[in-house]
Amino acid sequence: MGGLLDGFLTVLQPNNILFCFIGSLVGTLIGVLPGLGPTATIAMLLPLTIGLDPVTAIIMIAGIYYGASYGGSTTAILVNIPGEAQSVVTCIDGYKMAQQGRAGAAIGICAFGSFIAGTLGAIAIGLVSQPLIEIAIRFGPPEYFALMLLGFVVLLVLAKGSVIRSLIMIFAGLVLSAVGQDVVTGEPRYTFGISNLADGISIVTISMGIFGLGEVFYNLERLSQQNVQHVPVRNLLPTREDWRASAGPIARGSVLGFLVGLLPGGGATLASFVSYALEKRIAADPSRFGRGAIEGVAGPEASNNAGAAGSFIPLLTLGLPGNPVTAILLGALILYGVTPGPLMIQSNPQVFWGVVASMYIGNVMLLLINLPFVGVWVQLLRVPYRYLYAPLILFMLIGAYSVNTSVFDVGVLLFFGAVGYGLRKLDFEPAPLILAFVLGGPLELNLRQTLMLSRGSWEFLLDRPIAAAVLLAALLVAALPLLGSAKGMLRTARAVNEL
Amino acid sequence: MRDLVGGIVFLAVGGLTLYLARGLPLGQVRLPGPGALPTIAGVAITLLSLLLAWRGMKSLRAVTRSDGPAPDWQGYSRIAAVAALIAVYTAVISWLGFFVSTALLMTVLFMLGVERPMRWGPPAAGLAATAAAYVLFVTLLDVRLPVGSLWGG
Repeated sequence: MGGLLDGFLTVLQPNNILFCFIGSLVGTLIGVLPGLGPTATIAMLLPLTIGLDPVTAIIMIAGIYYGASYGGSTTAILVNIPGEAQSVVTCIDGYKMAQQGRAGAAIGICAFGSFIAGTLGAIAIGLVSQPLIEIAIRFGPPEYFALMLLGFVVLLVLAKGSVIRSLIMIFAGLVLSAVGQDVVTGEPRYTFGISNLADGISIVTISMGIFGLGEVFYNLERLSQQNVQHVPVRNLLPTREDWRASAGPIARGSVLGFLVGLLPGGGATLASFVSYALEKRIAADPSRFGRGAIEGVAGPEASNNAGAAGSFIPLLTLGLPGNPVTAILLGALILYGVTPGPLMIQSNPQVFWGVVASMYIGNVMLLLINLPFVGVWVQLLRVPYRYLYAPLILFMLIGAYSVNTSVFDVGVLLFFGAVGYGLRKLDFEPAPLILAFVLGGPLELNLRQTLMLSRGSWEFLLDRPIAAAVLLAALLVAALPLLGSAKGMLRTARAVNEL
Repeated sequence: MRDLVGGIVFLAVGGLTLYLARGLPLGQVRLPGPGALPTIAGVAITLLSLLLAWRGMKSLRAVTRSDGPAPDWQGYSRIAAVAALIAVYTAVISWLGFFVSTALLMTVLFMLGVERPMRWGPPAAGLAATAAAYVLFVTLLDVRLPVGSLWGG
């Protein structure tokens, strides 16, 4: 826990506190807008962190992430529009509470539940990371290849929409990851003779394009159709009754969410649904759910926050992102010269523990910002989108330019903005594409190194115990849809991701 | 319908992937070359998109009615206009510099969003947004943005 204390000392420097505060503030500011979830918000606001030192930048991103997540929950409760899938469950009982005049209690319990889960999540990361890193240090190319394969299999089994569409997205992501010079031979691939493409496409530009600009394009279609009703918000502090009803769901949601968050493709969304299903199942009167039960807000909100914390573990310990948010964060870390993975704790302990501590500080900021300023967020919900989209575009244009100080990247942003819009219109989920894009380079390199080491023999993978065990796990996960008892569970999980 | 259109789009993507990968060495199983992954991915995208298009064709035969609301041409033209403006911005920013090109872009974007585009609001908002971005990114965050060759940058 000494590292975690060092992380807190780093984060608690006035400069870092200030940027965490700004991150939470602008994250909430954008995240509260209907239709803009944490992924799009982070993608749009990433440019704000350019020019900062790595630790401060990551702390600010953590602030943006938590701010955006909480902003999405506020919108879900007040307007019944979830910013992202992870807030869908909050809509069910949160909006009913708002209609019954209890919007304040719903927003309050969201903030407190998220704070408690975030605190437990940060401690859990501190406890789990070190042993995981000790195992991960022994990993070679075969183990990494097997792990990435397992990640893709889990992603496919839990994939939103059809498997065919998800597979297309994965392979398209792999093709995009191949753009640039081949790492082994130096041969240019898909560069069209353009020197700007020799180093490949930046993850920051591609995610800003697909999630950020694509989202702006999509919202531009219905520029004049937003009509937000006024919902009164008062009594934000939960009563003793509210606490009594919420304590159990928050505790269970925190543990469940953290475990679910470790899964690739699961993260905060699956965590919130699992928590809601559990609370409804064990409730004395399940019929209250869907009619404004505070447990239906407290559990899932705690769970999605813990899920977000859990999803940082594969990124920080193995360098493998499990969802689009962590994929963008991986890109940002690389941009700042930090490579996540088992060696990060030794090479950049300040960043590693800074990230962990910033999750906690991000949650504290939320309590300080969101509850007192809730009236401002409510007013912001009423600002028409037609006044907001131009500044959002400006942020992304500057961000794309700043990555490599290149106008070419602004063109790349526009291209991927169009791609993101097209994918949305054609009902393709972009998350597998982004994950495959991020993992494609390491996957190919590790596979080629494995085959070089083994002189082309695939049996080599089975001779390595960790790689063999991971491959067996991948095989078992792939076989899950064929097992009768697992079918129902998977159908539920996929239905969750469908939302 | 989306399956069919999606299938056709990605069939083209798969075909293009394979076409562009044709000159890359495939290597051997022992030592895969730079063309191995693009070729495998290209073949997979082609086959999967064929499957998707075929599924789309089947559902098209089964359902004759339209499966979605009528297209909003006004919305589409708004998106096309914004995309075209960004393309023009990309083309002129090195020449005009960040401040002038961004102020112009922001003004037109604000004009697209308001009911009375010809009043003073959009230019004022465009200038204010550009100035705020300049102060934030250039002055406070020390980000280098193009000065513009027209002004000797």
